[in-house]
Amino acid sequence: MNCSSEEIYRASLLVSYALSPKNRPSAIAEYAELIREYRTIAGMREAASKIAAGLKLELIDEGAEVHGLIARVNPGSLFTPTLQDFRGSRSVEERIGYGLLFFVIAAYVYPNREALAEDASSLGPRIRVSELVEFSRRTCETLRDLVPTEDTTQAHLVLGFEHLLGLREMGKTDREQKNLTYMVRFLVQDFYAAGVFLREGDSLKSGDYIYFARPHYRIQVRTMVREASAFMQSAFERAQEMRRAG
Amino acid sequence: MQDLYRRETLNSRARNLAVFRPFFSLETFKGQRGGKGAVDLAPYDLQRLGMVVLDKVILEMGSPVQGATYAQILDATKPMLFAANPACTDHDADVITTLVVEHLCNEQQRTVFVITYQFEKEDGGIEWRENRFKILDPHESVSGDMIYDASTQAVNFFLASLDTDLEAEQAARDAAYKHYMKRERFEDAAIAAEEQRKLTIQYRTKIRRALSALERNIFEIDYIGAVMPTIITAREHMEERLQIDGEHIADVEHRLDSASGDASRHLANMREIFRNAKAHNVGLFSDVMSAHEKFRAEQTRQKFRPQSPQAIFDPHNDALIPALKLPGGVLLDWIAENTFLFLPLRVAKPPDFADLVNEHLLQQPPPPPLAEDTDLERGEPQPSHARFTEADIEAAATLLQTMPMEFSLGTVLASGRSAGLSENSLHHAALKTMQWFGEDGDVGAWPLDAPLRDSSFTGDDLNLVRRP
Repeated sequence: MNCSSEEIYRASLLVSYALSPKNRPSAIAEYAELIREYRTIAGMREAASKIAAGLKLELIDEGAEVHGLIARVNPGSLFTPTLQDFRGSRSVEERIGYGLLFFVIAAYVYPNREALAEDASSLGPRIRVSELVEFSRRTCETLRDLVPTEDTTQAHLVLGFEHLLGLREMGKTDREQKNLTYMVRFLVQDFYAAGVFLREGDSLKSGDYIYFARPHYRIQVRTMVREASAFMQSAFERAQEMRRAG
Repeated sequence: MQDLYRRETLNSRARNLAVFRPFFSLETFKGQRGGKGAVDLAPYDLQRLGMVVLDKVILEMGSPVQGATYAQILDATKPMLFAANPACTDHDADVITTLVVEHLCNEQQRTVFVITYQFEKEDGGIEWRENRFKILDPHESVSGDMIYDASTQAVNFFLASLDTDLEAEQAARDAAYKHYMKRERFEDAAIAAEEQRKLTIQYRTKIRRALSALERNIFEIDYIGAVMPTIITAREHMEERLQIDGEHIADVEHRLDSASGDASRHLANMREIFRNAKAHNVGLFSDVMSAHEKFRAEQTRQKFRPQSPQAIFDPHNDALIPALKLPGGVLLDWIAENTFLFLPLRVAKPPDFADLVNEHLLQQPPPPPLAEDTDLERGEPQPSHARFTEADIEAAATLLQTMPMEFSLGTVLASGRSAGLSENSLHHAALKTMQWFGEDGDVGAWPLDAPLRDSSFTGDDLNLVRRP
């Protein structure tokens, strides 16, 4: 590594900006300048990459002049989120529901390989909570007609689509949280709060919002789908054995 | 040979006709779309409205933000909507414009338009092919706004240029412009000039996209074979265009000296159009001139970029469907070990006083664990005991963000009340301001030696100053 102490200092500043998707180069002149240096000064780029690697992060430069650098977390990083942070005190049914909804949202926003592979700067389709819930139900109902199921009362053995179909679409009261609409809304708001989704008022439904996935989400989903696909192959075989064993 | 020309022409025409389909379906299916926003769409020509949207987007693609915001699109559509139906309200215009914009983004399929057409092969056989294209695509501008830009196919469609080379198309419009000017048909000349300007914007977008492809993955691009010839052609074309723009401006200015009435108005308009086109060409010329330098810089930069696995999987078929077929418990265990794949990174932050109050101090203790945690019949969840709802917290945060550099707690409460915030939101905002008291944080807080004047809160007022 051949970089000056000043470059190391500025590289660490750059990494600290990249830690929040909410930081935008257009709003922070220093961040814009650091990105320019990252792109043009080899020592700076090397230092930033090494600092990020030490923190078990990877810096992704796709449209960074608009969105900022995207920091992707690797396993074991200090910045790894946990389900505990996310929704620690929920029941098993809700935790499974949220887990499945991660997949539902990703497949809704990027309905096929081509959509996911698009230029990262494209925001993709609008996300309305009601339409996401409808998509989720429709997908699960299609599977129910195709896949044979077995009776079980244990939440962790219930197949994913049956699990989501078992959740009410809306709560009986405004405060009820175990229903698809609440859970989807919670997730998209969480993504918005983290800066990976944008939102605007919805002209078609006063008081509601439409959301858009920023490039950070696209990059995250690319990795998620790749890893999930590999896991599903082996998990499916293991699950079959588990169900046979009761 | 003639058969080859005929086949190529027909294949090209059949392919390009596909781009019309989404515009026709706007009008065809408007009966179904009306229900979505509860607005009667019968008085409006949605195809024409689609053109108004596209026209605005293409024009704004030439602006510094390189796209049109929804507000700009709405401003462009309103005059037509109000003229078509005097009873149309602002809300109706908003709903109708949203429906059209969403249709042109293909929101129903949430991906590109895919239109099939028949293609004649060299041996005379016929096969079905797909024309996959976008019309509008939402992006984020540098300032964080949502903007829309139009695809090349959409611009071609709009300008009825049917996939001809842009350079050839510009030359054709030039000829038309000169023809009209010679006969002093200034209105027709102005229309030709306006189309000319849109072609200039499209040309700039085309070159900009070619250059930005370098940033994505330089190793997938044939710079010598594909990009360099484009750059050389663009440089020659730009030189030519700059000269033509200059001549047009000089000619229009010369005619303006002796023109009056409508002719003068059209000529002044044309001068602005050509000046704007020239500005685009100057900007593009500068991009083109620095392309080689950009290529070298990107080559160096990307050589050190970590080589991420590039294989892209299908989120629906490779992830969602298998996940829905698995028992939930198996999936949950895997997600718990791989949360970083699903959630954005989190930076641990120091405890926030108001959040702590919300999450812990004001919550009832958790109920004792049930005998079987995984039992489906464990009953409904208890309602949240959080002191503040998410809406309270968000409203309080928004209120504090709108405060000036220096303000008082009394001002916060008064502003919140006039904005109709709930007591709970005001309570949360007050807790937040107290947290800053005496701390060396982003905001400093000191007592004001004056009582707080508020209907619910008592005590000393605080002076709050944001630190630069």
